[in-house]
Amino acid sequence: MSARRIVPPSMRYKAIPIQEYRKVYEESIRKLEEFWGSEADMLRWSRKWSSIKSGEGPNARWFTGGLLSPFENIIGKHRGTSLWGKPALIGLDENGDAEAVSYAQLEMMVAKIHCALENLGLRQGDWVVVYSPPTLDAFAFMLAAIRAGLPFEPVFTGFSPYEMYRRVITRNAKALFVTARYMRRGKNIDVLGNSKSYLERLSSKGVLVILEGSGNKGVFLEYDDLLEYSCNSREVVVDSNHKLFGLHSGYAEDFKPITHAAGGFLVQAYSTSRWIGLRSRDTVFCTVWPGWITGVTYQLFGPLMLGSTVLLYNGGPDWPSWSRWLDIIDAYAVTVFITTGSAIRILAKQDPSIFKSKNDTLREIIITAEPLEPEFWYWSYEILGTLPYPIVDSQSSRNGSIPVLDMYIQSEVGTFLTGNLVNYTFTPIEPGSAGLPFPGFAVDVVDDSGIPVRGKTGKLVIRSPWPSTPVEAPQEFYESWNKGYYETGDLAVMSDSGYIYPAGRADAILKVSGYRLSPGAVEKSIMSDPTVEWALTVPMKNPDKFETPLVIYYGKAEEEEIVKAVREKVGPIATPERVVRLGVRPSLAPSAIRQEIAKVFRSEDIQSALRKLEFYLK
Amino acid sequence: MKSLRFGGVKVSRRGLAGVRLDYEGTSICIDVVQPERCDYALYTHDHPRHAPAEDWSRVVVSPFRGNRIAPGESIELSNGVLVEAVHAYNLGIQETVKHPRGFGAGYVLEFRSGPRIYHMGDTDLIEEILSVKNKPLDIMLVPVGGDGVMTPEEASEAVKTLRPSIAIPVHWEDISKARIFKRLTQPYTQVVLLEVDRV
Repeated sequence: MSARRIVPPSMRYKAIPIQEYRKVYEESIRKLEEFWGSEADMLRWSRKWSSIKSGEGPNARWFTGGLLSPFENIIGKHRGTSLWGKPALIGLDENGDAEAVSYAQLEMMVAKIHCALENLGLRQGDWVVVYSPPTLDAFAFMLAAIRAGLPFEPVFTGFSPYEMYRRVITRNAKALFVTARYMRRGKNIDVLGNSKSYLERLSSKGVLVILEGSGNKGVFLEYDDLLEYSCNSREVVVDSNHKLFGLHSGYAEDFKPITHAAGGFLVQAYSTSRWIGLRSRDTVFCTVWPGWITGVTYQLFGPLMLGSTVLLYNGGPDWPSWSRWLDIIDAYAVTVFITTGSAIRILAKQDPSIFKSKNDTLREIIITAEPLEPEFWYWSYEILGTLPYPIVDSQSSRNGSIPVLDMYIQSEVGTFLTGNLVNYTFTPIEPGSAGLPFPGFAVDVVDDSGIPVRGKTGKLVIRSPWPSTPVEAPQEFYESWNKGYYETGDLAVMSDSGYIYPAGRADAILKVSGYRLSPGAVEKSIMSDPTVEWALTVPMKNPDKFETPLVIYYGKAEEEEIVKAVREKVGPIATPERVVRLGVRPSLAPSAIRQEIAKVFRSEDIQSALRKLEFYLK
Repeated sequence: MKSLRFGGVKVSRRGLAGVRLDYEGTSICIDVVQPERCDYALYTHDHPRHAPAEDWSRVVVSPFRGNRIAPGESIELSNGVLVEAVHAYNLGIQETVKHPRGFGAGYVLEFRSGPRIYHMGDTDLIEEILSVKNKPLDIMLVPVGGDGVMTPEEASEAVKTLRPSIAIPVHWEDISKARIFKRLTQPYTQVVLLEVDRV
């Protein structure tokens, strides 16, 4: 744990002592329902809830009886304000060509798509899926789904068309939005060409496949045609527990669907977005794409609820050079930059001069989804977080100006839940930590018996339900509440003063570049080759990505065929870093030994772990 | 970054203060000194870095050549875009300033697809620009380089006065000027720095 505590110059007059934070935090936990009830009052409700929370544990339901329009709470509320004409979204492609749409223009686009979806026969409660990088049209489509009361699931394009297909089927979705092609690292990504057979299969099952940017009319619908519709559709008002959106989250055996409800999620998204410091005058650039919870909550929902401008970029971070993201920050006066620890670790390898003077409008940098080692925190603070002008005195800051904040998030929770809050209870930063628990989240670190542990590694748990407790989740989620609190599956150290130091997964689930990958899903993709008789996937430590998949298998297939199968069935994001072929078929089922072997590979170097592997497989 | 599209109009930079506005298959250039590919050429004043010695484009609008226009006057282009001229000049003793009153103009363009775009020309923060505030302004092209035009600080004041949705600094050669303008202006509008496209 870090010995140093740092208050960046820009936060010098906003930082509070930990004791003050503690008072606010403990009060929020003691009166949890009252706390979230007062937060919920900041949303616009058509009818107020009858109970703040009903049910316990994973079955808790929030703001029951309440009615609200999600679209009104995201976009509509800005109508008639000075924000209505300002850019809501700026979509930028790799060529450097951008398009901005104001809140007013965005609402017009969204209303047309809403009309089209209704005319095409979709009804409130029908699921839609989006398979796209962050683009204006994909965001307008998701907002149209929200306006029409259609739950949606964005699928990360790093997942294969097959994985997208599986998710459309699992959700029983009625429509699918696909960006037909886009540029990445100077190459045309032909999503339509790569996905065509799956899109045809979905179309034959009655799924409306809507293509954006395909340029030719075929059996699928064209997105541009949706914009021709007009009608008098109004934004729907839904029950607080209406399904708003969902994601597939990585579990040991597979990716499994979880769903967030409108009322609780919007309360959490609005509150945490305010607390982390988003304002209407901000331009937010989040490099995490929709399909991952950070990309959904802090690209689509939170900044728009606050009236910020959101910069959407669908190109690669390293094209034409690694200065790309900072060039974007420079060109669009970005004030809040949200990225992953993996990205920071790679940026830190570049010549720092390529970032110089391009960060002058930044106010804060948020790191999401994975532990950030102190040395990389210091790099971020000193290189990206040092502005080229003085903050509060006449001396230029040489060693950091603005906060760099690692925050902990999980798909099941829906929002960040630990971190230093620029616009609420900002305490000194402990480099290497993910800050203190947010007010309203009963975070603890415990041993196997549930007894709190401090200063050493334990399980990161949440002792009470949170407003966006999923309304749909797999059995594993319910089982993770068996001890009366929610086990996140992550390990962490909590310091005596309450700072959280995440330490990776406690189970066999992989954390690759901040993204949670299911080892079981990788194994299934390998077993789809009939010549493979046995397959196991475990995490390998990786200095840049935190972890990468290691595949151990028995069968006739060549190693290249294993890699190919994973890329085709799960996606490039799950590409194994190493493949080990066994000479003898193990007798134990992979699920029986997965967690133990994962533990070995996480705690030991690769050679030593491989030597021990033989012992476990006997 | 190369271009910004807003409300059906694509904005890209050409040269010191020049911009090209692409709209419904036509191009309107303002202060582009090589306007060969422009359907309409608007010039704010007669200076070699703002206007060519000869003009090759079909329609020229300026205070000094082609369809002459003076501040306060307006003209409708054949693509339906309404162009209104606004004063642009330097403050001070008029005999000694680079751009005396009446020498040049800025232009407010109103597009049928919605956007209202203001190219300020070579000007200081003069009171006549307040006339632009009679309707919401979407994009403001603001000279920020100093020396005959506003300094970054003055340019930022101009934006705070007119409150456009988007501000694009032009008329700068040292990027530090554009960045000062950006930093001072960011809280009040969306600033976008565009690279100069030579094509």
